[in-house]
Amino acid sequence: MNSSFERAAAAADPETALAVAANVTAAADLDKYAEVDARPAVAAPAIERVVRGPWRGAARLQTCITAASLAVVGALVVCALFPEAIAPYPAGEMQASSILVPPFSVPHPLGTDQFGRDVLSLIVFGARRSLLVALLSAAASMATGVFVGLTAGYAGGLLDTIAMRLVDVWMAVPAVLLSIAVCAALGPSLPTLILSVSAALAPRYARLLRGHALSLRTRGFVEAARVSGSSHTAVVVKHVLPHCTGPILVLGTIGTGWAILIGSALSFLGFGVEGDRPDWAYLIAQGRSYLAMAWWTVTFPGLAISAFVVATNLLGDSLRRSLDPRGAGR
Amino acid sequence: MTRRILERLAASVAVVFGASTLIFLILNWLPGDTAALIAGEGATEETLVRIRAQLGLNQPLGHQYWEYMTGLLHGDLGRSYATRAPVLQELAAQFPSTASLAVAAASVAIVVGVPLGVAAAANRGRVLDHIIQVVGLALNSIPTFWLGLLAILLFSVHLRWLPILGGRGVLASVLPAGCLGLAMSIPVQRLVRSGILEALQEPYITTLRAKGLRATRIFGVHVLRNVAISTITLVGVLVGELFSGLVVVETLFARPGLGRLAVYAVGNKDIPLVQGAILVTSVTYVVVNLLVDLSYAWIDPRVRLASNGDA
Repeated sequence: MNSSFERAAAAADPETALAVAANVTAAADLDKYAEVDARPAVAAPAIERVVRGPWRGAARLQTCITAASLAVVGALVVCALFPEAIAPYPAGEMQASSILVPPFSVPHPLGTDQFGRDVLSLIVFGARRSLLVALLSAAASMATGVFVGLTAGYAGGLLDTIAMRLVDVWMAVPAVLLSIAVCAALGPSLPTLILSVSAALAPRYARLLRGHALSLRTRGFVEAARVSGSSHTAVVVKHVLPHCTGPILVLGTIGTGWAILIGSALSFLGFGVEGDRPDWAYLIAQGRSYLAMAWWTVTFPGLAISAFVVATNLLGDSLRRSLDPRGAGR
Repeated sequence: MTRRILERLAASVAVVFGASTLIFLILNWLPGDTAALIAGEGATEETLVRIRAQLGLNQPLGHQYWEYMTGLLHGDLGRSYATRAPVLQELAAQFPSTASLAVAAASVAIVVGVPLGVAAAANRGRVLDHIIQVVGLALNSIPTFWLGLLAILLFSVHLRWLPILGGRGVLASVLPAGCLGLAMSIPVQRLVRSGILEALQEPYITTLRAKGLRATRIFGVHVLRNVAISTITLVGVLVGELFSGLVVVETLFARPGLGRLAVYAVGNKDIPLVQGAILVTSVTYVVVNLLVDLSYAWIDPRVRLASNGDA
């Protein structure tokens, strides 16, 4: 469905990465994430000052892209927080006199749908539910992944083996189907949707973070902390976890995009929540029957989803770059 | 080699066992009342009790699990609540349609992804490379169902080249396979690109250059062969995503298939059918990954020789 998943899944498969010699993307991508350390980003501006010519332009372009992504995410978050202040019409208001009005007209800049609802207002009001599902499920799956991954990777041995076999089993069920199973068991509701998206994402995070914890376990500062008498819990919380801040930030940012894509797919398939403030995917599902007459009811909500995912991907990338000056320009 | 195969086989069986347990637990142990969902709102307690007794839902969970597992071992996936037909029969009827779409989509992904990856790597850092990266990012970020709807809008509604929805034959498969394949071509493209770039830095390439081999020959024979080997590993990872995509695409294009069946069964609260459909996809995923793993060991001399050394 979404291919950034595959990228991550490829990166997330340490067995593949090890089995294959170093010349595979799986390994390359794993490195890419593994190299994100919590090193201070001081080196980056220094390099920028030294580099001349086209690279300087490239750095400037990078800054513009980051700023634009931040602006997109910021605008959508503001829509989610204060929809009443932004939307030109109240939530769910239907105007029988103006049904399927084409876009780019004066009272309805993005047109109206089959019920005479203003599409722009629908998108603004839909932001809250769409972003809520994305943010909460990304956060929940990240928390689970961090806990399981760090514990397994740091503890090693039998606990690690058991945890990773469970992750294998979990990942053998295709993501969307796993989510569908959760929806089938619990019935449609907002918490169900969030839980089912988190269930699909959590094992990926667990795998990635386990790899980090594993590589940190034998590092000098961890051993030093142990020798100086810190308990295992203290070592993980005070020393291992802070070293994973970089990857957690990067994966969390990109993961919000994944989450909105899975959540949208579920909502489109009919596992979403109805109401007068439908989320973006639900708007697309509703507009589907009128596709031949009114392209705008389907196109604009989809643009909102895509803009959000592009922005989170770009932000994740630039976070990775700024946290890891060595990997810049790769 | 034999030992490696046996080990992998045992691991795969364990994963299938685990996955079927996981699916059972999600569908039966999570606190949802199936009987209430089937009976609908306003059902009397009496009706609920009758439904539970009929479906065996009043049995303890352990007993239900035992029945389910022994059934699985006998190749019995239970009966559909809605049609009372054996689940296996219902799934078998849908499997060919899903399999052909999956194969078509995977072919599109390879036919589009590999040349793009080669083109991007050959033009590293130049305009073409950047264009391919940007298009990849965009394709990566749009929901598959939306891509499908836009494709319908363009090819079926405006250009009238293809039938809108449903329909049989090759023409009806063009859009579903195209959309799914296009979305999946991006990871293929990325893998090929970075595989080539990594391979170009290997010492053996320097050796080949030093002995005066032409660049085209180095690229066409030595680099691509290496990349081809590693691309196989991606197939295994892609299968899982392929199934996720199939659910959406089959529903969108109203095609018969396992994914659409699963969605339909959830709507009907037909738990055995949902269970069966998800189980079949998981087993397929595990089997494909097993095959990939074994073929990989067989193709790559490094792995083959290493494991021979062990035995």
